Amino acid sequence: MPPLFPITLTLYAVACTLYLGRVLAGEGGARLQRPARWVLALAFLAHAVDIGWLCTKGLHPMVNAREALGFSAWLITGVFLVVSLRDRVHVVGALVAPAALVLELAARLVPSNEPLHAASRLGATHIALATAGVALFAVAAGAAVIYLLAERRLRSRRGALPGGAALETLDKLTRRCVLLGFPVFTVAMITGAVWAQQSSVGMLTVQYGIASAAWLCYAGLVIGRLTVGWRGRRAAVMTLVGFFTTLTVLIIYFLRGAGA
Amino acid sequence: MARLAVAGLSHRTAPVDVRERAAIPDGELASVLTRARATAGVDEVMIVSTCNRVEIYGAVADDAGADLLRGVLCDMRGADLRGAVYGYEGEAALRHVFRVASSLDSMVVGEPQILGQVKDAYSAAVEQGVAGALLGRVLPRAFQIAKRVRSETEIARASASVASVAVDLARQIFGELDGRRVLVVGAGKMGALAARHLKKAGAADLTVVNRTASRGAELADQLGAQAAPWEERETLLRVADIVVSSTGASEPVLTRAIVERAMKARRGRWLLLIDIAVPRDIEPTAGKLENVFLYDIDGLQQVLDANLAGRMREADQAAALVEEEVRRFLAGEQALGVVPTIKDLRAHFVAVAQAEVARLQQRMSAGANERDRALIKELGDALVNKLLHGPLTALKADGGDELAKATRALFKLDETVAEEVEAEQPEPQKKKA
Repeated sequence: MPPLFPITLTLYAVACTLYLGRVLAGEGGARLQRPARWVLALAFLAHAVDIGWLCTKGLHPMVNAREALGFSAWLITGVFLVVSLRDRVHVVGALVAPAALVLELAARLVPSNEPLHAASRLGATHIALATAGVALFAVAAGAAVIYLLAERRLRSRRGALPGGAALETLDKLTRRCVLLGFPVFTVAMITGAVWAQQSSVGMLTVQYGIASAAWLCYAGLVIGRLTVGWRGRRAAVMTLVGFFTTLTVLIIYFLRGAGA
Repeated sequence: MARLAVAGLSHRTAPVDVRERAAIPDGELASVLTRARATAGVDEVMIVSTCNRVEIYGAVADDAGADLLRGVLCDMRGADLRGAVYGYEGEAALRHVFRVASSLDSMVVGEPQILGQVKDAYSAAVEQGVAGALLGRVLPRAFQIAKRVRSETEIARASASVASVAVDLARQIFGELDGRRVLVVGAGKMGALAARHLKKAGAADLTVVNRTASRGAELADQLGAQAAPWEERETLLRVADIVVSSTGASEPVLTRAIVERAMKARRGRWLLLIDIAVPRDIEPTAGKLENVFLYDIDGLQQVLDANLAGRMREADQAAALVEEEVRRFLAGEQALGVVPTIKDLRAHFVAVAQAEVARLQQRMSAGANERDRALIKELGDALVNKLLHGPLTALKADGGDELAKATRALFKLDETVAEEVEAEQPEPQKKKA
């Protein structure tokens, strides 16, 4: 177990509590915003130390499913910390912090007896890119969920979500993450296909089929956003559909074991 | 000793026509303050006169009370006001001024203007020289409490007017309003007010369209906006972010079809439609369109009611905070009452000790050195401090009149003070200098 794992986990849990407290306590929770961000940043740093330590032991993030999971928690946190520097999207932290906590916890619960891609550079590239893409899509999905909730409250005259960002800000965040994540995910798809062809186990048809559906969904969303000007509710729903499809691929991956 | 009292009328006790009669115009305030201060039994005075309240605060003699100020107010503003005038004195008056300054007694609880108005009233009283020590302790404390209430509760957080709700809604959709385009349809008062709020919040580009071009141009002038012909409203809708409509039209001036066409041209950019007109200016089904947010007057009122309900919930917390401050202030005032006794008691002990030290030093042999004399003086000071520690602590802790009186009687402090005053009388000029 990485040396800082208990500290990392505790910090994620505290950040999670603070972000949720900020949202649930209404306007009175505004004072939790800054500590929540700091604690999450500390969790991110502690986690980085752990990832570094694991790398020195030969357990880099692409070596197996558990390290990839932990790495995705770290990436999601990092993406959120960076994007929330510019925009007032603290409320998204109420989704990101719990997601990071669950992923990091799951990473330690997943069995580690599958050194899957150590021999394949292409496989490692695929996993790294897919993890990065999914991390960006996860933050986009978090912002999309908040967008839909905030829009619903506005339409039903119930006022803003506590700590909620403006609709336009949330939409911009979703757009930015998807536009950034899409090319990364596309390259991950290509490397994945080539790697599966080259490897002895061949390609998992169902898994790749669903991943292609997710890619098509994101491709449609990117084209819609860039050409027709899709935004708001429609874009948020598409983002969520794309993310849950991607999530399905990951679930199958972990259930069946890549290459199994 | 003077005590705080207040008499006045407010939106709670008097309708607007009565408040109008009671209101004191700015130009008359100075003379009214001077006249009120000249009343026998009134040591200090301050008058708060706003559209929702006319109140006279004063430091009055112990045997007088709020009735005295009630009389002053009715004499000056009309005897027929008496039925609407309330009065408080002592602790109740203190609680009242703290609540008023904290906006807990306002028509819209949590509104920020009242604090400024009370501050202005106090400044006027100070300038006029009619505010003294008591108001000088009470009012600054009231301002501190008002600040505490605003920072520690959410009482003033939610918007409390239709115009500010419009700004809030715009912020929830667009975030910062800097550079946002506002289209004002019609020249209604409410629409103009909302547009002013939006401009103040950062919206830079305002355009007014009105059926009567001259009225539109007039409003545009007032708002620092541009005026455009009525027929251009559909074109302008394509570029506006926020539309505020308040015409007197009997049929919708912005139909769903118009908004739908505009949304296509806008490529789905968000559009906030604020319809303050009755009958409504914007077809209600336009609000069903994607990325279009339509609020009519009922919708705005719904948000406003929710905000005000939230303020009332916060008001309970704020009231508890005011109560805590009332208790703290009264404790401070009580302690202040024993200060003269504490001073006299210490002076008495120091005088006795100094006399005894001087007598002992005289009796000391000529060979005694400076160090011995200093030691004797030090012993005298130490004894005074040790002996006084218990009684002074008890006096400060109790703060009541009875213990102070008993102390004065036990040590004959009043006689001592009288003797000192008598002894000093031959040289009054010297003391002043």
